[in-house]
Amino acid sequence: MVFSSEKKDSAGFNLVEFAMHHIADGYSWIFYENSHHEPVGFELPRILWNKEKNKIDFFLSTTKAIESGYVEERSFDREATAGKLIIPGGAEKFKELVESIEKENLVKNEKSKARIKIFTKAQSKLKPLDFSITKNVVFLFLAGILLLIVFIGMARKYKKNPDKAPKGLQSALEPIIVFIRDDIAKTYIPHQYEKFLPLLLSLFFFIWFLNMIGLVPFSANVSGNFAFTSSLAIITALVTNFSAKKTYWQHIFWFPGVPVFVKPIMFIVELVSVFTKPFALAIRLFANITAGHLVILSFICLIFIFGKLGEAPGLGYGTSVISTVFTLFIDMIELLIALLQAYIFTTLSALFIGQAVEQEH
Amino acid sequence: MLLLDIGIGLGAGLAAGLAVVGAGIGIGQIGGNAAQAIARQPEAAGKINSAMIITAAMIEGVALFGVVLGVIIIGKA
Repeated sequence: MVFSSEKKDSAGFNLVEFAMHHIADGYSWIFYENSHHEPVGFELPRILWNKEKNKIDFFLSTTKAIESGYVEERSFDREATAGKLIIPGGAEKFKELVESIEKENLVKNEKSKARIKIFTKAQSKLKPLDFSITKNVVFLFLAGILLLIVFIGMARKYKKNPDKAPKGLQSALEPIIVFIRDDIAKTYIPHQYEKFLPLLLSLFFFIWFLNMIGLVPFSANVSGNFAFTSSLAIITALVTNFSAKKTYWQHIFWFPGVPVFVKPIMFIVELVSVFTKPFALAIRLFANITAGHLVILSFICLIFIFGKLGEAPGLGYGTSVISTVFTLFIDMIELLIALLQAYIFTTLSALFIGQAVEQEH
Repeated sequence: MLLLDIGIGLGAGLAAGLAVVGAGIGIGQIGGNAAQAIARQPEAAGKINSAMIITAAMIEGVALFGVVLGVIIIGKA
Protein backbone atom coordinates (compact mmCIF):
# COMPACT_ATOMS: atom_id res chain seq x y z
CA MET A 1 0.00 0.00 0.00
CA VAL A 2 1.57 3.21 -1.19
CA PHE A 3 0.38 5.36 1.65
CA SER A 4 1.19 3.09 4.57
CA SER A 5 2.78 4.86 7.45
CA GLU A 6 5.88 2.71 7.21
CA LYS A 7 7.10 4.43 4.10
CA LYS A 8 10.25 6.39 4.76
CA ASP A 9 11.85 8.86 2.46
CA SER A 10 15.39 8.38 1.16
CA ALA A 11 17.02 9.44 4.41
CA GLY A 12 14.80 7.36 6.70
CA PHE A 13 12.56 10.13 8.05
CA ASN A 14 8.86 9.35 8.19
CA LEU A 15 6.79 12.52 8.36
CA VAL A 16 3.35 10.93 8.73
CA GLU A 17 4.38 8.69 11.59
CA PHE A 18 6.23 11.52 13.35
CA ALA A 19 3.28 13.90 13.10
CA MET A 20 0.68 11.33 14.11
CA HIS A 21 2.78 10.23 17.07
CA HIS A 22 2.99 13.80 18.34
CA ILE A 23 -0.72 14.46 17.96
CA ALA A 24 -2.03 11.15 19.29
CA ASP A 25 -2.73 10.15 22.85
CA GLY A 26 -0.39 7.72 24.56
CA TYR A 27 0.12 5.57 27.62
CA SER A 28 3.40 7.24 28.58
CA TRP A 29 4.56 10.83 28.74
CA ILE A 30 7.60 11.05 26.49
CA PHE A 31 9.57 14.28 26.43
CA TYR A 32 12.05 13.64 23.65
CA GLU A 33 14.34 11.00 22.16
CA ASN A 34 17.98 11.24 23.13
CA SER A 35 20.89 10.67 20.80
CA HIS A 36 20.62 6.89 21.12
CA HIS A 37 16.98 7.02 19.95
CA GLU A 38 15.72 6.06 23.38
CA PRO A 39 12.62 7.86 24.58
CA VAL A 40 13.09 10.00 27.67
CA GLY A 41 9.99 10.18 29.82
CA PHE A 42 7.91 8.13 32.19
CA GLU A 43 5.05 5.70 31.89
CA LEU A 44 1.60 6.46 33.16
CA PRO A 45 -0.55 4.21 35.37
CA ARG A 46 -2.93 1.66 33.90
CA ILE A 47 -6.39 0.95 35.26
CA LEU A 48 -7.90 -2.10 33.60
CA TRP A 49 -11.17 -3.97 34.14
CA ASN A 50 -10.51 -7.64 33.74
CA LYS A 51 -13.68 -9.13 32.20
CA GLU A 52 -12.78 -12.67 33.09
CA LYS A 53 -12.14 -12.19 36.78
CA ASN A 54 -14.49 -9.19 37.13
CA LYS A 55 -12.10 -7.01 39.05
CA ILE A 56 -10.13 -3.85 38.49
CA ASP A 57 -6.40 -4.18 37.99
CA PHE A 58 -4.31 -1.18 38.83
CA PHE A 59 -0.70 -0.93 37.68
CA LEU A 60 1.76 1.89 37.99
CA SER A 61 3.04 1.49 34.46
CA THR A 62 2.56 -0.55 31.33
CA THR A 63 5.74 -2.51 32.00
CA LYS A 64 4.39 -3.60 35.37
CA ALA A 65 1.15 -4.66 33.71
CA ILE A 66 3.05 -6.77 31.20
CA GLU A 67 5.11 -8.26 34.01
CA SER A 68 2.01 -9.44 35.79
CA GLY A 69 0.58 -11.32 32.87
CA TYR A 70 -0.95 -8.93 30.41
CA VAL A 71 0.17 -9.34 26.83
CA GLU A 72 0.78 -6.59 24.32
CA GLU A 73 -1.80 -6.61 21.59
CA ARG A 74 -0.29 -7.30 18.23
CA SER A 75 -1.61 -5.80 15.07
CA PHE A 76 -0.81 -7.64 11.87
CA ASP A 77 0.20 -4.79 9.67
CA ARG A 78 2.09 -2.79 12.26
CA GLU A 79 4.38 -3.60 15.14
CA ALA A 80 2.90 -4.15 18.58
CA THR A 81 0.43 -1.31 19.08
CA ALA A 82 2.23 0.54 21.83
CA GLY A 83 0.60 -0.02 25.15
CA LYS A 84 -2.58 -1.79 24.13
CA LEU A 85 -2.96 -4.93 26.19
CA ILE A 86 -4.82 -8.22 26.25
CA ILE A 87 -5.92 -9.94 29.45
CA PRO A 88 -3.58 -12.32 31.23
CA GLY A 89 -4.02 -15.83 30.00
CA GLY A 90 -4.74 -14.11 26.75
CA ALA A 91 -1.36 -15.24 25.49
CA GLU A 92 -2.51 -18.84 25.15
CA LYS A 93 -5.84 -17.90 23.62
CA PHE A 94 -3.93 -15.58 21.33
CA LYS A 95 -1.76 -18.43 20.11
CA GLU A 96 -4.78 -20.69 19.59
CA LEU A 97 -6.38 -17.89 17.63
CA VAL A 98 -3.43 -17.46 15.29
CA GLU A 99 -3.18 -21.20 14.84
CA SER A 100 -6.88 -21.55 14.08
CA ILE A 101 -6.69 -18.85 11.44
CA GLU A 102 -3.72 -20.53 9.90
CA LYS A 103 -5.26 -23.99 10.13
CA GLU A 104 -8.47 -23.01 8.44
CA ASN A 105 -6.24 -21.62 5.76
CA LEU A 106 -8.73 -18.84 5.36
CA VAL A 107 -6.44 -16.43 3.66
CA LYS A 108 -2.89 -17.12 2.63
CA ASN A 109 -1.44 -13.66 2.35
CA GLU A 110 -0.22 -12.46 5.74
CA LYS A 111 -1.11 -8.86 5.15
CA SER A 112 -4.41 -9.49 3.41
CA LYS A 113 -7.34 -7.46 4.65
CA ALA A 114 -9.64 -10.41 5.35
CA ARG A 115 -7.09 -11.99 7.63
CA ILE A 116 -6.49 -8.74 9.48
CA LYS A 117 -10.24 -8.31 9.96
CA ILE A 118 -10.77 -11.80 11.40
CA PHE A 119 -7.74 -11.38 13.60
CA THR A 120 -8.75 -7.99 14.95
CA LYS A 121 -12.32 -9.06 15.58
CA ALA A 122 -11.33 -12.13 17.55
CA GLN A 123 -8.65 -10.24 19.41
CA SER A 124 -11.12 -7.61 20.53
CA LYS A 125 -12.85 -10.20 22.70
CA LEU A 126 -9.66 -10.61 24.70
CA LYS A 127 -9.22 -6.93 25.54
CA PRO A 128 -9.85 -5.56 29.03
CA LEU A 129 -11.87 -2.39 29.54
CA ASP A 130 -9.34 0.38 29.62
CA PHE A 131 -9.75 3.21 32.11
CA SER A 132 -6.07 4.07 32.19
CA ILE A 133 -4.65 7.47 32.95
CA THR A 134 -3.33 8.42 29.54
CA LYS A 135 -1.50 11.63 28.70
CA ASN A 136 -4.73 13.40 27.74
CA VAL A 137 -6.36 12.43 31.04
CA VAL A 138 -3.42 13.88 32.97
CA PHE A 139 -3.85 17.17 31.17
CA LEU A 140 -7.62 17.11 31.56
CA PHE A 141 -7.08 16.91 35.32
CA LEU A 142 -4.40 19.61 35.20
CA ALA A 143 -6.68 21.98 33.30
CA GLY A 144 -9.54 21.20 35.66
CA ILE A 145 -7.43 21.91 38.73
CA LEU A 146 -6.08 25.10 37.16
CA LEU A 147 -9.60 26.30 36.42
CA LEU A 148 -10.74 25.49 39.95
CA ILE A 149 -7.82 27.36 41.51
CA VAL A 150 -8.26 30.43 39.33
CA PHE A 151 -12.00 30.77 39.59
CA ILE A 152 -12.58 29.71 43.18
CA GLY A 153 -9.84 32.14 44.16
CA MET A 154 -11.58 34.84 42.19
CA ALA A 155 -14.98 34.07 43.70
CA ARG A 156 -13.52 34.24 47.17
CA LYS A 157 -12.04 37.67 46.48
CA TYR A 158 -15.44 38.89 45.33
CA LYS A 159 -17.04 37.60 48.50
CA LYS A 160 -14.43 39.18 50.76
CA ASN A 161 -14.52 42.69 49.23
CA PRO A 162 -17.90 42.97 47.60
CA ASP A 163 -17.77 46.65 46.71
CA LYS A 164 -14.11 47.18 45.89
CA ALA A 165 -12.73 47.52 42.40
CA PRO A 166 -11.17 44.32 41.10
CA LYS A 167 -7.42 44.07 40.70
CA GLY A 168 -4.95 41.59 39.31
CA LEU A 169 -6.20 38.42 37.68
CA GLN A 170 -9.74 39.36 38.70
CA SER A 171 -9.63 42.46 36.53
CA ALA A 172 -8.43 40.45 33.54
CA LEU A 173 -11.11 37.78 33.73
CA GLU A 174 -14.05 39.92 34.75
CA PRO A 175 -14.51 41.61 31.34
CA ILE A 176 -14.40 38.20 29.67
CA ILE A 177 -17.05 36.79 31.98
CA VAL A 178 -19.20 39.89 31.49
CA PHE A 179 -18.74 39.53 27.74
CA ILE A 180 -19.94 35.93 27.82
CA ARG A 181 -22.89 36.88 29.99
CA ASP A 182 -23.99 39.86 27.90
CA ASP A 183 -23.01 39.11 24.33
CA ILE A 184 -23.42 35.35 24.30
CA ALA A 185 -25.88 34.28 26.98
CA LYS A 186 -28.25 37.26 27.03
CA THR A 187 -28.27 37.65 23.24
CA TYR A 188 -29.19 34.07 22.45
CA ILE A 189 -31.11 33.04 25.57
CA PRO A 190 -32.98 36.22 26.49
CA HIS A 191 -35.18 34.90 29.28
CA GLN A 192 -33.51 32.21 31.35
CA TYR A 193 -29.84 32.78 30.73
CA GLU A 194 -28.84 32.40 34.38
CA LYS A 195 -29.74 28.73 34.28
CA PHE A 196 -27.32 28.04 31.46
CA LEU A 197 -24.60 30.56 32.24
CA PRO A 198 -22.46 28.14 34.33
CA LEU A 199 -22.42 25.64 31.48
CA LEU A 200 -21.44 28.27 28.91
CA LEU A 201 -18.73 29.73 31.11
CA SER A 202 -17.31 26.30 31.86
CA LEU A 203 -17.29 25.33 28.19
CA PHE A 204 -15.58 28.55 27.18
CA PHE A 205 -12.80 28.54 29.75
CA PHE A 206 -12.20 24.79 29.63
CA ILE A 207 -11.80 24.75 25.85
CA TRP A 208 -9.72 27.92 25.85
CA PHE A 209 -7.33 26.68 28.53
CA LEU A 210 -6.95 23.27 26.90
CA ASN A 211 -6.31 24.80 23.47
CA MET A 212 -3.60 27.01 24.94
CA ILE A 213 -2.06 24.14 26.93
CA GLY A 214 -1.89 22.12 23.71
CA LEU A 215 0.39 24.76 22.20
CA VAL A 216 2.98 24.42 24.96
CA PRO A 217 5.85 22.04 24.11
CA PHE A 218 5.91 18.66 25.86
CA SER A 219 2.19 18.82 26.61
CA ALA A 220 -0.73 16.81 25.32
CA ASN A 221 -3.10 17.56 22.47
CA VAL A 222 -6.37 17.27 24.38
CA SER A 223 -8.76 19.37 22.32
CA GLY A 224 -7.48 17.72 19.16
CA ASN A 225 -8.89 14.46 20.46
CA PHE A 226 -12.21 13.60 18.87
CA ALA A 227 -13.40 11.75 21.98
CA PHE A 228 -12.98 14.90 24.05
CA THR A 229 -14.73 17.26 21.66
CA SER A 230 -17.56 14.85 21.01
CA SER A 231 -18.12 14.47 24.77
CA LEU A 232 -18.53 18.23 25.05
CA ALA A 233 -20.84 18.24 22.03
CA ILE A 234 -22.93 15.43 23.55
CA ILE A 235 -23.25 17.46 26.76
CA THR A 236 -24.53 20.41 24.74
CA ALA A 237 -26.92 18.16 22.82
CA LEU A 238 -28.32 16.63 26.02
CA VAL A 239 -28.81 20.03 27.65
CA THR A 240 -30.51 21.34 24.49
CA ASN A 241 -32.90 18.45 24.07
CA PHE A 242 -33.77 17.97 27.71
CA SER A 243 -34.51 21.61 28.40
CA ALA A 244 -36.48 22.08 25.19
CA LYS A 245 -39.98 23.47 25.30
CA LYS A 246 -42.97 22.34 23.30
CA THR A 247 -42.34 24.88 20.54
CA TYR A 248 -39.02 23.25 19.77
CA TRP A 249 -40.44 19.76 19.34
CA GLN A 250 -43.31 21.21 17.36
CA HIS A 251 -40.84 22.76 14.99
CA ILE A 252 -39.22 19.39 14.44
CA PHE A 253 -42.25 17.17 14.02
CA TRP A 254 -44.84 19.43 12.51
CA PHE A 255 -43.15 22.56 11.17
CA PRO A 256 -45.67 25.41 11.35
CA GLY A 257 -46.13 27.86 8.54
CA VAL A 258 -45.46 25.69 5.48
CA PRO A 259 -47.92 23.82 3.22
CA VAL A 260 -48.81 20.30 4.33
CA PHE A 261 -46.93 18.40 1.65
CA VAL A 262 -43.67 20.07 2.71
CA LYS A 263 -44.05 19.03 6.35
CA PRO A 264 -42.67 15.46 5.97
CA ILE A 265 -39.58 16.83 4.24
CA MET A 266 -39.12 19.37 7.01
CA PHE A 267 -39.49 16.58 9.55
CA ILE A 268 -36.62 14.63 8.04
CA VAL A 269 -34.46 17.72 7.68
CA GLU A 270 -35.09 18.88 11.23
CA LEU A 271 -34.56 15.40 12.68
CA VAL A 272 -31.22 15.06 10.91
CA SER A 273 -30.21 18.51 12.07
CA VAL A 274 -30.75 17.48 15.71
CA PHE A 275 -27.83 15.10 15.21
CA THR A 276 -25.64 17.00 12.79
CA LYS A 277 -25.49 20.20 14.81
CA PRO A 278 -23.59 18.68 17.77
CA PHE A 279 -21.54 16.56 15.37
CA ALA A 280 -20.46 19.72 13.55
CA LEU A 281 -19.52 21.30 16.88
CA ALA A 282 -17.29 18.35 17.69
CA ILE A 283 -15.64 18.14 14.29
CA ARG A 284 -15.10 21.89 14.03
CA LEU A 285 -13.08 22.08 17.24
CA PHE A 286 -11.23 18.81 16.64
CA ALA A 287 -10.26 19.53 13.04
CA ASN A 288 -9.21 23.14 13.66
CA ILE A 289 -6.89 22.31 16.53
CA THR A 290 -5.45 19.17 14.90
CA ALA A 291 -4.87 20.95 11.60
CA GLY A 292 -3.02 23.73 13.40
CA HIS A 293 -0.77 21.28 15.19
CA LEU A 294 -0.11 19.37 11.97
CA VAL A 295 0.95 22.55 10.17
CA ILE A 296 3.37 23.48 12.94
CA LEU A 297 4.81 19.97 13.01
CA SER A 298 5.19 19.91 9.24
CA PHE A 299 7.15 23.14 9.23
CA ILE A 300 9.54 21.77 11.83
CA CYS A 301 9.86 18.47 9.96
CA LEU A 302 10.85 20.41 6.85
CA ILE A 303 14.16 21.11 8.56
CA PHE A 304 14.86 17.41 8.95
CA ILE A 305 13.71 16.52 5.49
CA PHE A 306 15.89 19.18 3.91
CA GLY A 307 18.84 18.35 6.11
CA LYS A 308 18.40 14.71 5.07
CA LEU A 309 19.07 13.64 8.65
CA GLY A 310 22.65 14.87 8.70
CA GLU A 311 23.69 14.27 5.13
CA ALA A 312 23.21 17.90 4.04
CA PRO A 313 23.72 20.04 7.15
CA GLY A 314 24.12 23.32 5.29
CA LEU A 315 20.71 22.99 3.70
CA GLY A 316 19.32 21.97 7.07
CA TYR A 317 20.63 25.06 8.83
CA GLY A 318 19.36 27.33 6.10
CA THR A 319 15.91 25.79 6.20
CA SER A 320 15.81 26.03 9.98
CA VAL A 321 15.92 29.84 9.84
CA ILE A 322 12.99 30.13 7.43
CA SER A 323 11.13 27.30 9.06
CA THR A 324 11.35 28.80 12.53
CA VAL A 325 10.04 32.14 11.28
CA PHE A 326 7.07 30.46 9.63
CA THR A 327 6.43 28.34 12.70
CA LEU A 328 6.35 31.43 14.92
CA PHE A 329 3.90 33.06 12.54
CA ILE A 330 1.62 30.02 12.55
CA ASP A 331 1.91 29.88 16.34
CA MET A 332 0.54 33.41 16.58
CA ILE A 333 -2.39 32.40 14.41
CA GLU A 334 -2.87 29.35 16.60
CA LEU A 335 -3.22 31.56 19.67
CA LEU A 336 -6.02 33.44 17.91
CA ILE A 337 -7.63 30.17 16.82
CA ALA A 338 -7.50 28.86 20.41
CA LEU A 339 -9.61 31.76 21.64
CA LEU A 340 -11.80 31.86 18.56
CA GLN A 341 -12.72 28.18 18.62
CA ALA A 342 -13.65 28.39 22.29
CA TYR A 343 -15.82 31.42 21.50
CA ILE A 344 -17.46 29.71 18.52
CA PHE A 345 -18.22 26.57 20.50
CA THR A 346 -19.78 28.59 23.31
CA THR A 347 -21.74 30.84 20.94
CA LEU A 348 -23.18 27.94 18.99
CA SER A 349 -24.06 26.08 22.18
CA ALA A 350 -25.86 29.19 23.42
CA LEU A 351 -27.62 29.49 20.08
CA PHE A 352 -28.87 25.90 20.15
CA ILE A 353 -29.99 26.17 23.77
CA GLY A 354 -31.70 29.47 22.98
CA GLN A 355 -33.56 27.90 20.08
CA ALA A 356 -34.72 25.11 22.36
CA VAL A 357 -36.01 27.22 25.27
CA GLU A 358 -37.50 29.93 23.09
CA GLN A 359 -41.01 30.77 24.12
CA GLU A 360 -43.96 31.08 21.79
CA HIS A 361 -44.03 34.50 20.17
CA MET B 1 -3.89 -2.63 -6.71
CA LEU B 2 -2.61 0.28 -8.71
CA LEU B 3 -6.07 1.46 -9.70
CA LEU B 4 -7.18 1.43 -6.07
CA ASP B 5 -4.14 3.44 -5.04
CA ILE B 6 -4.75 5.95 -7.79
CA GLY B 7 -8.39 6.17 -6.77
CA ILE B 8 -7.60 6.67 -3.10
CA GLY B 9 -4.93 9.23 -3.81
CA LEU B 10 -7.12 11.21 -6.18
CA GLY B 11 -10.11 10.99 -3.87
CA ALA B 12 -8.31 12.23 -0.80
CA GLY B 13 -6.46 14.93 -2.68
CA LEU B 14 -9.59 16.23 -4.37
CA ALA B 15 -11.56 16.10 -1.12
CA ALA B 16 -9.11 18.27 0.76
CA GLY B 17 -8.23 20.48 -2.18
CA LEU B 18 -11.76 21.34 -3.28
CA ALA B 19 -12.84 21.93 0.34
CA VAL B 20 -10.02 24.41 0.74
CA VAL B 21 -10.90 26.15 -2.54
CA GLY B 22 -14.49 26.55 -1.41
CA ALA B 23 -13.43 27.92 1.95
CA GLY B 24 -10.98 30.31 0.36
CA ILE B 25 -13.54 31.77 -1.99
CA GLY B 26 -16.21 31.99 0.70
CA ILE B 27 -14.08 33.60 3.37
CA GLY B 28 -12.54 35.91 0.82
CA GLN B 29 -16.00 37.16 -0.11
CA ILE B 30 -16.89 37.67 3.54
CA GLY B 31 -13.74 39.70 4.09
CA GLY B 32 -14.36 41.80 1.02
CA ASN B 33 -17.96 42.57 1.89
CA ALA B 34 -17.00 43.34 5.47
CA ALA B 35 -14.36 45.80 4.32
CA GLN B 36 -16.91 47.48 2.03
CA ALA B 37 -19.45 47.68 4.84
CA ILE B 38 -16.92 49.25 7.19
CA ALA B 39 -15.98 51.73 4.50
CA ARG B 40 -19.59 52.78 4.15
CA GLN B 41 -20.24 53.09 7.88
CA PRO B 42 -17.13 53.32 10.05
CA GLU B 43 -19.13 53.54 13.29
CA ALA B 44 -20.37 49.97 12.87
CA ALA B 45 -16.84 48.60 12.48
CA GLY B 46 -16.96 46.69 15.78
CA LYS B 47 -20.15 44.78 15.00
CA ILE B 48 -19.16 44.07 11.42
CA ASN B 49 -15.79 42.82 12.59
CA SER B 50 -17.26 40.33 15.05
CA ALA B 51 -19.86 39.11 12.55
CA MET B 52 -17.09 38.57 10.01
CA ILE B 53 -14.93 36.56 12.40
CA ILE B 54 -17.79 34.31 13.48
CA THR B 55 -18.92 33.60 9.93
CA ALA B 56 -15.36 32.90 8.82
CA ALA B 57 -14.89 30.39 11.62
CA MET B 58 -18.09 28.56 10.70
CA ILE B 59 -17.09 28.27 7.07
CA GLU B 60 -13.67 27.08 8.10
CA GLY B 61 -15.36 24.39 10.17
CA VAL B 62 -17.18 23.11 7.12
CA ALA B 63 -14.00 23.14 5.03
CA LEU B 64 -12.21 21.12 7.67
CA PHE B 65 -14.92 18.46 7.33
CA GLY B 66 -13.49 17.91 3.87
CA VAL B 67 -9.92 17.80 5.10
CA VAL B 68 -10.77 15.31 7.83
CA LEU B 69 -12.51 13.18 5.24
CA GLY B 70 -9.33 13.26 3.15
CA VAL B 71 -7.28 12.03 6.08
CA ILE B 72 -9.77 9.22 6.76
CA ILE B 73 -9.68 8.12 3.11
CA ILE B 74 -5.90 7.96 3.15
CA GLY B 75 -5.94 6.00 6.38
CA LYS B 76 -8.32 3.39 4.98
CA ALA B 77 -5.32 1.79 3.25
